[in-house]
Amino acid sequence: MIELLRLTFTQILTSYSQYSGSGMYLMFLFFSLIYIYVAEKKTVEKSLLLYYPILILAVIFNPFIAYVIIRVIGDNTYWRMFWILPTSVVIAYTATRIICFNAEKYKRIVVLITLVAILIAGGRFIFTNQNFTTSGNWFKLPPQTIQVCEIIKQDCDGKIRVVVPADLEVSIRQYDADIQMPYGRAGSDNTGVTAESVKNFHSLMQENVLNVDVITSYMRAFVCNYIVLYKTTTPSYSMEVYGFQLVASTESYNIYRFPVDGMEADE
Amino acid sequence: MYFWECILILFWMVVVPFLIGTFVVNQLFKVKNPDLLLTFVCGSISMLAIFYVLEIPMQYFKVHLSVLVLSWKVIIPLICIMVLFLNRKDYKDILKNYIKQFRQLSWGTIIIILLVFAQGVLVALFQHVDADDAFYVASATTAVSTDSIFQFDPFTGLPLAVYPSRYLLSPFPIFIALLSKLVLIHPTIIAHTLLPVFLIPLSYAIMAVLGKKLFQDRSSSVQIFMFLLCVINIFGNVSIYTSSTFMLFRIWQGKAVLASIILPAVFYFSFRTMSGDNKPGEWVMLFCCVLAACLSSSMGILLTPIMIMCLGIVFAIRNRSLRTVCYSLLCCAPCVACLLASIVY
Repeated sequence: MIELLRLTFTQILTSYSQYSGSGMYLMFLFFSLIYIYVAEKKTVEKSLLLYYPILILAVIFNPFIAYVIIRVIGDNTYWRMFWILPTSVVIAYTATRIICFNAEKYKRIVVLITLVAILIAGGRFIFTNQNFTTSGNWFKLPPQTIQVCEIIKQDCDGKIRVVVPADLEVSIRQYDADIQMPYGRAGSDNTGVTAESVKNFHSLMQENVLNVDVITSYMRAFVCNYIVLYKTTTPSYSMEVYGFQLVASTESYNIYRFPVDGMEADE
Repeated sequence: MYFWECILILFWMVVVPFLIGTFVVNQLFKVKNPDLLLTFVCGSISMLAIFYVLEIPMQYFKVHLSVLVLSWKVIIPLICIMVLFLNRKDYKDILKNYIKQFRQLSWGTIIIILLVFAQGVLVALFQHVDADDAFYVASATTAVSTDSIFQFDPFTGLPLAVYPSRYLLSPFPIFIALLSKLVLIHPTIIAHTLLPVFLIPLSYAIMAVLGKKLFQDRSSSVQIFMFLLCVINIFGNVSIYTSSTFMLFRIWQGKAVLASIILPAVFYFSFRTMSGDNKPGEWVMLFCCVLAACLSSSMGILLTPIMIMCLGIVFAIRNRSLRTVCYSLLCCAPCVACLLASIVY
């Protein structure tokens, strides 16, 4: 029992560090709670911005409650419990109170600039080049995803089931949900029937040297009529010999058609 | 070319929430000079709640998406007509009041509004690739392309053999599919380009009405409060798990809507309801927030009751009234029902 509680508490601390990350915002929250405790006179505001966060913290850090919640939601999403902690509201309220405490305008401006500087120093800017990139389309999808889909759709009048490399797994069906895939993101699916073979198919597609013989059997088994490969992928044998026909190429991908029977049968 | 789409967007995403909000604020809250932002917030949350009540039975009976869209196209305009009829004598005053609020906007408020919309526009204009979209956005595109509700695997497009039970009771992607059908735009464009422009300001609107209540409408304090919230969110990339990153990276996903819109709304309406004189209409709005939480994410089914009960306990002690706890428990009923349903599934 004690071991179980210890493990749960470790999980809580992990979630805390996951949520707080590299910033100081949770630290600012604790300072704000102390400020509200000392300076706030109104009981309504105190109940909302002091007693409620304290009660929530007591709930989040309680290993008995956490154990039950982790059993329900899983241990890797417990950090979401911190969403019910009104961190930004309490910090912004406290900072506003500190700023408005000063009667003179210039003093207010000085305190505002200081507090904004502290908030900026304690956080990390969100709109960076790493987080956001320019996109040439309204879909906000990688342009090559759209290119690949359009090439395949122009080439095929009927049903399309395509095998794609990792980069395209996420975005293909966001652009066109008429295109089917044997597996989705990271080889996952929701059918629950062919999970093992799906995983094998997916891992085979991650190889730098593509085993054409095995891929061909998977293409037939999963009734796929198109395959998209990185241009850098080396087939173990000539693709054409196994019936693959190069339809077109984009900047990074080669698109092959594969003759397969039974495309309409399994609808 | 895009004129008709723009009209449809304005109608379904601005006019309809405002009309529904007018009903909530004037009939349920019985507020004399309703706040423009409060009206929009109430209308948007109520719209999500109505969608949830409509969608869940249709999903259970495997009804086509087009039937859901048709029902929406009939029910929502009927509600709007009913609201117009109910407020027929007051509309002159309501509109006058709204125009007065627009005219009274100070430069500080205008700067905050621009700062908020700038965030929405930046998210809409630039691309942030999120792997979870393979499920969330593809669920919407799959629903539209197959004219079904959660009958096909969004990852593959194949018929679902095993239902993803944790998503079934929180069908936010279907709401995107509905919007797509209503405004005649591809679901992915709705999610990645259109929703940020509406949902990010909605999140700040909730914060603004909270700020107005906390600072008793002292305009300068509310402006500073909102400015600081903008700074906290813009510099909130301390980890990928904060509500700020969820809001500015992927507001179109149900869990981001939960973190940055629904939970703050639950916080605000709980505060409004429990700290006031327990008006029944305000409890109804809190109930709507709970339904919207269930719609947005499976986590909402768990987090919302914890939030409401904690707030209920705190304010029950403050008010020395057990009624607050009892009403809070009643508000959590949809979440309890969803939890039981997920066990049965």
